[in-house]
Amino acid sequence: MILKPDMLAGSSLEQLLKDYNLSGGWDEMFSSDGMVRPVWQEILEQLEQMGLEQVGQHHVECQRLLRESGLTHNLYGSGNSTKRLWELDLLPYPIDNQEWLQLERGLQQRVRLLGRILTDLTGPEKLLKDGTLPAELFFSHPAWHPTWKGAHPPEPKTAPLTFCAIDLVRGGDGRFFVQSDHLDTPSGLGFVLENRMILSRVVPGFFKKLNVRRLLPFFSSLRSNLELLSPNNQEDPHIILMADAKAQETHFEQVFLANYLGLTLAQSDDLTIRNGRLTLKTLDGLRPVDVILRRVADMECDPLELFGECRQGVAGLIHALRRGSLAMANPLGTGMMENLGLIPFLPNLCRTLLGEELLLPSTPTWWCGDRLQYQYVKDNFDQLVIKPLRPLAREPAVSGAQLDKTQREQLLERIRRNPAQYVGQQRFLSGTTPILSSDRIKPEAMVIRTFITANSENMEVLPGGLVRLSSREGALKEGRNISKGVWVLSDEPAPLKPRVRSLRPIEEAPLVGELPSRVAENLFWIGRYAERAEYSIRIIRVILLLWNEESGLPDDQRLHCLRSLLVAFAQITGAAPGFLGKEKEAFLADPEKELLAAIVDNKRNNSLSNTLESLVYSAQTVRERFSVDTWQVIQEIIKRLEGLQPSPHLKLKNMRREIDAIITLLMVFSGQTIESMTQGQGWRFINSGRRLERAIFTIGLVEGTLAKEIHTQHESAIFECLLSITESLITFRRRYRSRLEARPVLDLILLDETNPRSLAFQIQALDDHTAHLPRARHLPSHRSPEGRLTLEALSALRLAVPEQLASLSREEAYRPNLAHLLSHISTLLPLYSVTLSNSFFQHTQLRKRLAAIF
Amino acid sequence: MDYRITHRTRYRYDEPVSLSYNLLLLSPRNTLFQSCSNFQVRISPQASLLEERVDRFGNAGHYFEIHKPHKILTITATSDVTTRQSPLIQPENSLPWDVAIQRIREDRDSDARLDRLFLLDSPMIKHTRSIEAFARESFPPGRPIVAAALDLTARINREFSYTPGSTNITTPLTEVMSTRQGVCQDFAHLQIACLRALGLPARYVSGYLETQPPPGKARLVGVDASHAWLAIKIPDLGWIPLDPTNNMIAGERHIMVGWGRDYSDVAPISGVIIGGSQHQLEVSVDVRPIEKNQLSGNSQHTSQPEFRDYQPI
Repeated sequence: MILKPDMLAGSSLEQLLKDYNLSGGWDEMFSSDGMVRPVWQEILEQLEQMGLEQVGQHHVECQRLLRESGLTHNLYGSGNSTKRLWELDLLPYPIDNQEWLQLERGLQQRVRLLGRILTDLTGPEKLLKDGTLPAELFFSHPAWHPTWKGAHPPEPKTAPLTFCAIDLVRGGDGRFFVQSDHLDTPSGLGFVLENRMILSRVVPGFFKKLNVRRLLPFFSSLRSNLELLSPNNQEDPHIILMADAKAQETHFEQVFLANYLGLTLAQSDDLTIRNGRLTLKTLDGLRPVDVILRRVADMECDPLELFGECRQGVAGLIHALRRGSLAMANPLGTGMMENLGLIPFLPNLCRTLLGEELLLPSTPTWWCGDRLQYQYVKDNFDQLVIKPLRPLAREPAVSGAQLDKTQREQLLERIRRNPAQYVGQQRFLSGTTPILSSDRIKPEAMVIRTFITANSENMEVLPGGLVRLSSREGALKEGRNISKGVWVLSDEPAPLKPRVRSLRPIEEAPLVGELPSRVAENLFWIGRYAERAEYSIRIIRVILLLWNEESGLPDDQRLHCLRSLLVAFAQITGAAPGFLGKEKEAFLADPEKELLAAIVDNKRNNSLSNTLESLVYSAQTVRERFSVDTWQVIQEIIKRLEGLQPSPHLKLKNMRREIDAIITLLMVFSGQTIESMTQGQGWRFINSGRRLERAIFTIGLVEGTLAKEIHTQHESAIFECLLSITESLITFRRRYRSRLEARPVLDLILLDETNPRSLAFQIQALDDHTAHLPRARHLPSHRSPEGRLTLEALSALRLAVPEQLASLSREEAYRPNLAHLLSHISTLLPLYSVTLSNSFFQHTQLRKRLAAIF
Repeated sequence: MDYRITHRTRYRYDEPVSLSYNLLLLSPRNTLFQSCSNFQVRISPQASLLEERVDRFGNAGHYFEIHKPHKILTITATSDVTTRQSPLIQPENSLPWDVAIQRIREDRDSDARLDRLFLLDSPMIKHTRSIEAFARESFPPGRPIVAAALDLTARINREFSYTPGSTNITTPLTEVMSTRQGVCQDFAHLQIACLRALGLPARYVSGYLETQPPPGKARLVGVDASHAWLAIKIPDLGWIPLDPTNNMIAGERHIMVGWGRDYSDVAPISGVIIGGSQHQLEVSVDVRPIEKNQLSGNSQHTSQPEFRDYQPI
């Protein structure tokens, strides 16, 4: 059926709605008689005014901004290239404020009810003892654990569930039904906010005309509800968002939410327990934590107490909670409340516990732990969807009718053995909502995620939400990940306020001491990897020039330079062992294959693609430290990496363009980190990494080409190559206006502290960063162990005499003084790295291991 | 009987351990047939924090942290316990087991409702068809429940060989079923699995066994280690402790530390360490019968400064 309401005839809307076929259930845009619902009228008018072309442009713009924000499933290195990217629909999910307020009451009641049940289950268990709820309903749940009991001392001033998400679907008559509760680690709030921010940039007009209710007050309430939880430090509690290290697909959302709420983002590895108190490991030491907003599943919180289940978490965390030294939202034990078997009991519980009728129904559900309900499930197997109490990836929901005979018997046997672990649910046809896809609007089934925050007195529902596509039976759809924002349309204009980036006032921006050790270590390595990639490219570029015979050098000089650079490259990076091994002559005579591998083979340590992957990986772990623009550069590098895949068709001579593009990105990245990072500790670490790496490289390069195996007749060509690789050729020409000789070349590349590419410059900068690292400040009169190393290296360089460095051995085969100086400094630098690790990253290097139990 | 139990556990690490977090479950419970008059735990090096806590099942455990780098960790628990013989049971006079099951199902008592936990699968005990079939052989219709349970205990004792080292704590029951060997905790798990498969509540008990052989009697298995058995809940009789490793109803010489769904709820020592690469473990358990007047509540070791004594309530 093609809908052509009169109001659309001949318009661009008609074009857009050409394929809008109603399937007979509830549709958000059209009533069953084909009339446009009132909430959509204004939006459709706006679309009509925009015209087809502009609608398309806006849609593309939405996707672009979404990519920029990094809020995508786009994780590099996840093994395959099938990335599931989020798309953001230009069309909102509008809902009238009156209808929404009614929904809010239902959601508030549900959270109140679930909170009451949870408090009982983790405490007195009255509901189980008096038989109101069967014990098996929870004891059979995969997230039940004996340690939950008493894990949270009862705290009357707060609500048991501080922050929840509830998924809704709409039935055929337009009634809302609860599809699932997301109470343990509710996700998606960051997406809601980001969606809203993007749409308000792309179509600001929509918001002005439509009086969309604002989201900000909810975030303020959430923040203050978390503060209320704090058992200590009422003035300024330290609140962290405990991030799930495994859930990479929601990592950026966690980052976004933490930044917006002004919470410290911490992974399990950033945290440690000391004397029954949770602390954050920072460069300045251990800082106590008062409240956790938890994104790690309760069953994964503490490897000490949840033996066997736990792959992350903090040892001793549960004991710290028992002592009441910190609070957690939501409490441990919340996971078992995500329980489909609870559904049949809710109407009755609502009456007993709250004295009210249940406002929001759920999909009709039968719990197999009850004999009569079990019988019903068996009798109506083909009409039902069978689900475990908490559907998970490893045991998803299945439709009884779709099973063959064996599968059916296997499932029935599993249910027979553990009936309490299963439910049967009525199949449910959810309503549809319009989705814009390329140049059409089509109806698609959807699930609406709502968010609630509570304290003991107030229960607040976010006037917004996240709508995602689903199959019509309610499971989230595989494939396209489309989301749209819920817009609650009010009759009154929303009060105008400036857009707030962070709830935390600027003057309370994180202290220097907040840099977690893990973050500092990653920043240090980001500096190293970025520089490593950059110099690899610089040397490869000159090698390609020589190999392609574009250098203009006579052949014997060209081949000598090529050989000596290939060997130096292999020695510095280790990525081309062929040039050093037994068969090196063959490799050096025809270097193409080995060199290509050193560029594209990501399995080889320190190959260019391997280094870039490490850079990207490290950057992803500290995503929150980078600006949007800097993150863009990382995204571009990820794209470029796709062009660096090994393939039999690759030709060395075609690599030039690829690596040129990458070095440009690396230069932008380094510019961005210098320009737009505040010059705090993080900046010091990233730059220390960079300086250290460049120093190591410069030493390796000079050692490999000028210190030994010298052929004086070819040296001037080598000098030129070196000056070119170190980007010092122009300076050299301007300053010395002389022939290429060893003394001025060594002076410029090694000793000149004004040349930003010289060794001395790197060491001097490293010394300066070292002096500003946090622990060095405690003892101003003493040099730190790292500081002694940089001073020793710097002094050696400052005391060196250029003429002596340049002087050759008697047989003119090597430069003894140069070799001595370089080898001295090159023993100091690895020591520097180790010492720095010991001083600052020590927590991060140690591994956790479960001791054997006996 | 009166006993002094000394349970010493020593970890030797190849590399220094910088941080160590541990849970202990070493303190014997007080029950109708057993009382613990004195319990001390010493930890070397000294713990930075040592706190007592009671778990869901009423077992008294301890939590401790060590922050000082160390290569050896020693935990010594000393308890003075008095046990009494429980009343004699006449197995053939107990309820028919199918009647008992009906009673259990219909029991509306609040404890009985919570004890339904012990009917369900637990982390280390999973219901399988072969276990159920094995169990049914001891439970023909109408057989008195204690007699049937003891028959099952005897069959496990007879058909499975006690082979130290053949299994470890991660060995699944399915493997024990197929290899027909294991140690005390495997046999306890197995009998629990059997009873639960039939719909009878059963729980895991951890503790000690006096191993000094009485004159003229054979030495019992379970020497110099902690021991494990199980208890089955029977209407009117309560929890009856069964020891499949020694084919008996656990009695005066069984000293109970704690109970739970399975081993994972009552591991004597569990820990997470930071640092250390490999370790060696030495455990010694000494269950010594003593004369009444020797039980003074004083430890035989005087407290040393680097140890921290713990005195329970």
